[in-house]
Amino acid sequence: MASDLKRKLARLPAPHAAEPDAALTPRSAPPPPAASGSSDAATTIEDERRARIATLRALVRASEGEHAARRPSPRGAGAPRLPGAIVATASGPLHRVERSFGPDHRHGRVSVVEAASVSAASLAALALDATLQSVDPRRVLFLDTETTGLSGGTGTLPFLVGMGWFEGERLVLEQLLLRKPGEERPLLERLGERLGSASAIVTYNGKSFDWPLLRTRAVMNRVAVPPPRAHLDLLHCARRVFGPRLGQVRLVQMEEEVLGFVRHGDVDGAQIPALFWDFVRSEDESLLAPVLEHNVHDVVALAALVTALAERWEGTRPDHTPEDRLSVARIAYRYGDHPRALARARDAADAGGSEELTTRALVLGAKAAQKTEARSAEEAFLLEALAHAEGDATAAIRLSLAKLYEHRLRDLDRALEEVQLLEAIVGEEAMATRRARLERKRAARAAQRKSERS
Amino acid sequence: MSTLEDPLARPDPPWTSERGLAPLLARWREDPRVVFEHLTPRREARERSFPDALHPNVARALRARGVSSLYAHQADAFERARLRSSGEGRASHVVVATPTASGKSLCYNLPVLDALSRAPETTALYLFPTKALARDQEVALRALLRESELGQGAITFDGDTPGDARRAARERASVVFTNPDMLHAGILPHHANWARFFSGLGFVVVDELHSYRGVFGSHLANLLRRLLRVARFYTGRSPTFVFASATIGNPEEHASRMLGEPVTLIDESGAPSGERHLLVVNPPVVNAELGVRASYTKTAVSFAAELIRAQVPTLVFGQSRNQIEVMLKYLRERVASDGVSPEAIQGYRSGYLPETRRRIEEGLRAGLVRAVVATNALELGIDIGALEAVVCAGYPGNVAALLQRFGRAGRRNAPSLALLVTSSMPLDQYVATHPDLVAGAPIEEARIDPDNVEILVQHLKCAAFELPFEAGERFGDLPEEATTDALDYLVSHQLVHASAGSDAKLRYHWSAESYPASHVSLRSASWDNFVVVDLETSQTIAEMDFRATHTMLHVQAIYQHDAEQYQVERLDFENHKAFVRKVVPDYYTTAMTYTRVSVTSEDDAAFVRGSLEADGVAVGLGEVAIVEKVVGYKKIKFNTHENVGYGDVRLPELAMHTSALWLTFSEATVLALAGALPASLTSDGASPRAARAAVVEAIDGIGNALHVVASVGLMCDPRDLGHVMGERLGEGELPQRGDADGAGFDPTLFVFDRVPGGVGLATRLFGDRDALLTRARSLIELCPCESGCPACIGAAGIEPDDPTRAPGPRPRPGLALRKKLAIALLARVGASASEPKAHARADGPRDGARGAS
Repeated sequence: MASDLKRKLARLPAPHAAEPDAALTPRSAPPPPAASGSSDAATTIEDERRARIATLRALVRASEGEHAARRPSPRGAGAPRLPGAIVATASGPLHRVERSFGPDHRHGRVSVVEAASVSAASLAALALDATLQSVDPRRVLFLDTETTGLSGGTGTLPFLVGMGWFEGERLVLEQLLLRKPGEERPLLERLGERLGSASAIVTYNGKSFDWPLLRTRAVMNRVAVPPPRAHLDLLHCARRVFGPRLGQVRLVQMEEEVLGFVRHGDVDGAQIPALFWDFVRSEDESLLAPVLEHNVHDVVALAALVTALAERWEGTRPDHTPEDRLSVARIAYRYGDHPRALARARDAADAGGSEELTTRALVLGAKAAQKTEARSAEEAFLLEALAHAEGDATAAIRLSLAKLYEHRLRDLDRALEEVQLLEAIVGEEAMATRRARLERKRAARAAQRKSERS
Repeated sequence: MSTLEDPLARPDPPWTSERGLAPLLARWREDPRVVFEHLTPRREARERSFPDALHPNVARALRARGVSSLYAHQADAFERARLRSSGEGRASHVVVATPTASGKSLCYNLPVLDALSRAPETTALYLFPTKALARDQEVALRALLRESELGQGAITFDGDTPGDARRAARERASVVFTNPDMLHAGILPHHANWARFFSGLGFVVVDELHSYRGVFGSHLANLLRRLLRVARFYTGRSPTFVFASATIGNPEEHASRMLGEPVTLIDESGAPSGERHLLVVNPPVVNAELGVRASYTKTAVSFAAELIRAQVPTLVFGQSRNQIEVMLKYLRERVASDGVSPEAIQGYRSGYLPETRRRIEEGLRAGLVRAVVATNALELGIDIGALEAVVCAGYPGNVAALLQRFGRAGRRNAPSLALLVTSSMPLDQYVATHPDLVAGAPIEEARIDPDNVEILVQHLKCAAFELPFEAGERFGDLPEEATTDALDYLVSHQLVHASAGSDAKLRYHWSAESYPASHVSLRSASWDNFVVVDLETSQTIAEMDFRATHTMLHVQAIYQHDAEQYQVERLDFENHKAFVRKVVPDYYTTAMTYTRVSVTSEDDAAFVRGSLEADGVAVGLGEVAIVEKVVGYKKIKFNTHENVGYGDVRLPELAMHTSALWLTFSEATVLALAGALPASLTSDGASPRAARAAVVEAIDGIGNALHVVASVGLMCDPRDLGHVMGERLGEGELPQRGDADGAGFDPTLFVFDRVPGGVGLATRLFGDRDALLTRARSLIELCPCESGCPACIGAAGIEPDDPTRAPGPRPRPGLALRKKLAIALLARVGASASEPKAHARADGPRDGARGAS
């Protein structure tokens, strides 16, 4: 029976699911030897593997650019080429890498340590999540993982966990590397300790990716990892603030467009799983060096992004684009912080953006003014918006004006003026109800005045 | 479809026909087309009082429903499942195999309700082959939970479940209803999210066990291996399995093979049943020469129409989607003159969108629908209320499926009718002459091969993704050595990585990037469905599986939907859409397919008993590549069934690797027989070339007979097998076209497992090859036709696979000799003459039975 199965296995075509590797196989790879017996199958696979590792090395070297020159050749002396140290824990060995960044460190143009002094209220507002108000920003844990795949599920391993936290004026980074599957316990226990002392975790897409994956690993390894007290997922904040301007909100885009940081020789994220498995099989540490570097950037970028986001929430600087200002105004409006919405809308309208953006900012300003019961400000915003508006936008603004005059300022004559102007745009029929009501009210008011006088 | 009207609200039609079954039965007894009648007498209930162990709340809930006792099999199932789950004694898992409508669902609901009452954290997983069944049972169990004062939730988790309900299922539900596909791709690979559910998993219910046969069944067996691994990870033990099955020949063996653990059988139904009349109708021969019979479709329609006129709620089953649309159209026309509105007769098939199907189900329950024409979508236990008669147009291929269809009719105390109309298809004719096959207990055995290497490897990948394998671990009942071999195979392809963990134990970890479950489909049609879009309304009117698309949705095909005809104008193959427009043609289309086989490896070879190598007849067993291609279509005129035209079809080929048995006749054998042909043939103006062609045609005919006897011998559905005549080619070789006489190749018959990788049917045929050839000869010799008919070697010039085929003989020289030649060929390979007529006794009368007239 068993030998029968073995015979059948030998005859099976190469299984599916190795396709990510296929992309890495060099085009010049030698074709498998033709007409060779099945005993050569293993050799062929080994050849393919060597070819693939060679390609990966070439990629790694190319990505490292000038640094490659001063690196010793791979497979040299057995000295570990990765930074950090393997510490023995009660649950087994753990590879830890520590770094720290001083108070002056910037990621691109943006200070990293300033993230410690933002207010929790700003974070809560940016995330539209009131539970973040009680978070101590000095005690957050920045968290980012590198994994063996993006599809999630129980078979996807987070093999590198990057964590960052503040110690006084410094940002401390700790990376936990899984050197082979089956050694996850010490890594998860260390993560659990850090989580236990953090007031919140800060991630990029961690709500749907990193955290569920880590929680899965905790279950799979029967390690009690406490859930984070709060979770600030910057992806959603970034999408709200920068999405309208940038369209895509991948972390590298944020770095380039918002933080002013450009990565040189960064490893392509799509290759990371293959690099890890080839590291596991070959124990060639040089393969993972760029992945560790990539992860450092990711974690540091989280802190810088907190700074950049909070800065836009807390005030307006000349370099903040009109789009970003308008986005912050929208968030403030949604969060119910109407005075801030009004102020940011004003800032957005004054930033010299397109007529359309200015119009939208002014309309939003009017809405915020309405909520703060600043009647004259509402009217001023709307009238100013009218001056910038084009096409269909005009009708909506006039309708807002008509409502303002009718319901809040109780100026029926001016309301009717707007209705008359609207009728010219949208037709009399659409305005018939409103006109009838306004005229009825005006007649009633006249009658009342008359009776008061008599 | 317009809204349903009450057909009974119309004034009575002018005719005053009989009402109810009895007068119809009396009349049909005199009908020569009725070749067999069998009466299953009314059966009284065998009841037992509630077991003492049943939780009082559950007992109270049953009493409140007016249930004061259980049927014997329900009480047995409860006791056994409870013992197994409570760990008392050494009870094993349970399989309940009792007839349709015997109260099987209570057999598994009772132990689950009882356990939930005692240990509220208990959870149960219910598996159904289709979404519709799961939803049906969810409603039923929810009511029972409520009535048993249980606060736990029951929820269906399938592809249609919205996001927040999915979270509720993971976090709170105690009973989860799902299907194998969802368990495979949506639950097991994410089991950590279901940690609460799996930690309490006490029961797994697998209903409709008999439907998991062949490939699907082999997939399910592997899925259960995976489920057991995950369950043990959380609870350290395996949950109690309760299987429910229709009556098949080997329920206990099938369930045990499925689970890889011993399972105890409960098969004596204690449920009562009303008397049931079984009638087999064989349409008369209309062309004796060709053995062609009157259309069974039309015959079924005429019997069904009489039932509808007599106001007997009737269910008509057809074989294919195409056929039910034709029957729906005919049936509506037929009863329209009697004032029955078209809406009172509904079609029901799996291609219908869920809301359409639900509306029909409601119409049936409410009595607004009087007849339903269905494919097997209704065969699996969806409750559609009281039907008194079932008409099966054509034998569905196996007794279990037929009995399931028949089981749709019949209420506890009223008489019911089950009527089978046999087609001229060989297996149907076999049933018509041996009708006691369908009157007795089913003998068919459900077969699976969980160790089919292709299926096994796919699931082993998924299993490694779900939990690392430990060195020495077994995958279900797969031996340790084989499990290790298979894992090493995955290691060699770098899909898993073996390494020692912190505890120094060697484990096999998934080490590829992709998500393996997304590459594995549990159904043989491993492709996404196509949708059918009406160009006039831009509405999606139906869905169709990938394989059926090739034959039913090619450009120019007449696509029949709800008795309307549509023509396919465009088939967007990449986006899986077919665009159709409503037309009123006087024809329908049927696809012509071309099949090519090449041998990829030969596992075994033999010369048939008694034949010498000089005869050059070899039997082989091995793996083959089958390539099917739709090459064209025929236009068939409605009503007359004339062939009125052809068209080309350009679609990609469908390829499959499977195992096959083959029979190669050497060129020398062919020539020897051709040379011995009587002069009368050559005097027809035929050349040696024609003589050779006649022999090859006879070989082709033997293929037909082999296919029939193979499926009878294996007790499998003939559709599980395929046969084709070709040449013994290696993969990629082109067929040789011989010389002008067509000579130069060795005609080879292939009988193959119609399942990728095969599920062991070909292997069993090879082992049984002598009996197979003898049975084939007997089938041909005992057939009453003159020169070959569909029931034996196939009528010449007529596609043997076309159920709606037209009787249109196109005689060719040598035709008359086909049958004799086929017998001669079989004699030459050693098939002994005339098998003892062991099964011919069915022709004689028996209790309540009447022989063929």
